[in-house]
Amino acid sequence: MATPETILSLEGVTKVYGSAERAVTALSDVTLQAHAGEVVLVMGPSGSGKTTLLTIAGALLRPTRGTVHVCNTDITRMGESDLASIRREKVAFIYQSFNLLEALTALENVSLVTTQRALNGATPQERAKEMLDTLGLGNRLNSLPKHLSDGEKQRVAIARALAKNPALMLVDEPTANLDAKRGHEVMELLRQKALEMDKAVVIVSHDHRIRDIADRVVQLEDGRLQAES
Amino acid sequence: MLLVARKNLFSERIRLAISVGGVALSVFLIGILLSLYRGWDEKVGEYVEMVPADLWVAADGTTDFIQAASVLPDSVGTQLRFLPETDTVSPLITRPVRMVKAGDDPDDGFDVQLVGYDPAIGLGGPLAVVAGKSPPGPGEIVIDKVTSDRYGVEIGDRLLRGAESLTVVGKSSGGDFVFTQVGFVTLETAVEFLRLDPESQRTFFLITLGDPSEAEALAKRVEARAPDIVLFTGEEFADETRQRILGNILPMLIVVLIVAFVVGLSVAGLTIYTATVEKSREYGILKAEGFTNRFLYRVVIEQSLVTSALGFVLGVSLIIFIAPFAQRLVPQFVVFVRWQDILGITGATLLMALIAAFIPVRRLAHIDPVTVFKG
Repeated sequence: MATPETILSLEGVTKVYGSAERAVTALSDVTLQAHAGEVVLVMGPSGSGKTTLLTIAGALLRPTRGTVHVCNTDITRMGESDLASIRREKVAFIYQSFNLLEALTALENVSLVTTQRALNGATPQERAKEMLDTLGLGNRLNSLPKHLSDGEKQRVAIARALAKNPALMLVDEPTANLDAKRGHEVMELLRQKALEMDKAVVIVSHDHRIRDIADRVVQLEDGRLQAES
Repeated sequence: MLLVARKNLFSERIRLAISVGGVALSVFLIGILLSLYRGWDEKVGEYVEMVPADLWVAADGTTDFIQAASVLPDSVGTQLRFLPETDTVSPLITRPVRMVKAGDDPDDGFDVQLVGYDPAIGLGGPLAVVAGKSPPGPGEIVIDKVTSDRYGVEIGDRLLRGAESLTVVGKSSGGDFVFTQVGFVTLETAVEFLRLDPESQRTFFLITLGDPSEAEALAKRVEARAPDIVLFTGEEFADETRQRILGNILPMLIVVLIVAFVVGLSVAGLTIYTATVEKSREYGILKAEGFTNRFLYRVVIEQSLVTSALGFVLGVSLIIFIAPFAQRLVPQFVVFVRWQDILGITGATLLMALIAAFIPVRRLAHIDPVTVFKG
């Protein structure tokens, strides 16, 4: 059996905010990999550095030390426009508060971020519609976010992430705004679709109820990775 | 237009209406003031420009037609007639007078620029007669049709000035100076009506030349020999008259134009800025999704441009539709819309749009996409 491709690789990543006496270490010497077709759950309490980890992995923040590779490309010292290109082409985020654009319909929210490489001859609208259909939102295409339930919003957010056809999906506290049942359904759906499409998924959460959807769980405390399970 | 720009713009209808309204108000004010200025500019110089004289002769120190303090003896005309280049020399007597229609309250008087001319020559008389007869006879006056429209003076009415009176026998066009209009009488009637002493004094002499191209050279030669008189071509004298009357208005006009521009800029700028601030998180999301700053700048600039374009169309439409009504209600509201001014307003609106987008664009550059991870 072939070794799955490493999509994300953090090597000895440290992130320090501020300097001198005001310096705060958010991440300390973190090493983590995520492979295609794998769901990694990073668990930890508030303030443990989960979001910092996610933003460094997602090419939004540069580490103070260490290296970050996405799809075998070293992004550690990339310029802003190259980082934007990585985010556009390789990475998709799913946010705790969904982060849909309020003035855009579900279809428009998804089609807006659809990249050229995701299309395969389809138009952005066709691709977006396909993703929303897949996630059971075929009847909500033209609904504005304010007319969607939280569960529907999260599914639109997942459709938006999948429509980009990224190699890496980074998911921030995905169940924080959903009830237990809805949260679990959405996470199952995310796992199913991500794995069907051979994505590497890194989820940060403090919700123990979603442990079972992960292939691997790592613990983050005070910016350090603890034991894996 | 970008989807995000269009959706952001049209999803907030009230904000859009305020923004477009602000720009439209600004465009309307700028446009109407410019058109008003052009209208006055056109009217104020029209009579002087249209009189078919090659040269206007006035006493030294005279700057314009309306506020002329020119007093010349009739003998100047005789001397001018001896010049070999001159074809015709015609005297004019002009004075601003306040008149009242017989039977009206004296407080309802109005200003007339009385012009006494020689009907035998015709130079300096009515440009075009639109009703009644011309030339006027002794004790008669041909008024401008704007005087008739504005003050309800008709043929057959008597106009009074103290114990003197003139009977209206005709109406002419082309003599409107916005705040006053010319009224034509014979030289003799002017002398009598104005009780001039000495009776031989004149205000101007109008000269036509055998060869009009010699006008400037002749003017220089005469001025060198007779330093107490000054000569203007019709165009120069019309420009001087315009400058004299409108020169005082222009600085105020420029101030109001600047205020109008700033009002439009402020309204558009503030609404676009607040919209950008409110949407900061969404711009952060777009940054996180890999959209470049350049894309975000385009979103804001497009919003600003579309807002300004809508405001421009509304403002110009208001000018086109409101100006004729205003002109009917207020006769002094003389507007002349030039395409060059519309082009200028287009440029001002474009500038307004770009400046209005400048501060929001600067803000966009500093939005940190990491903030979108905060719940």
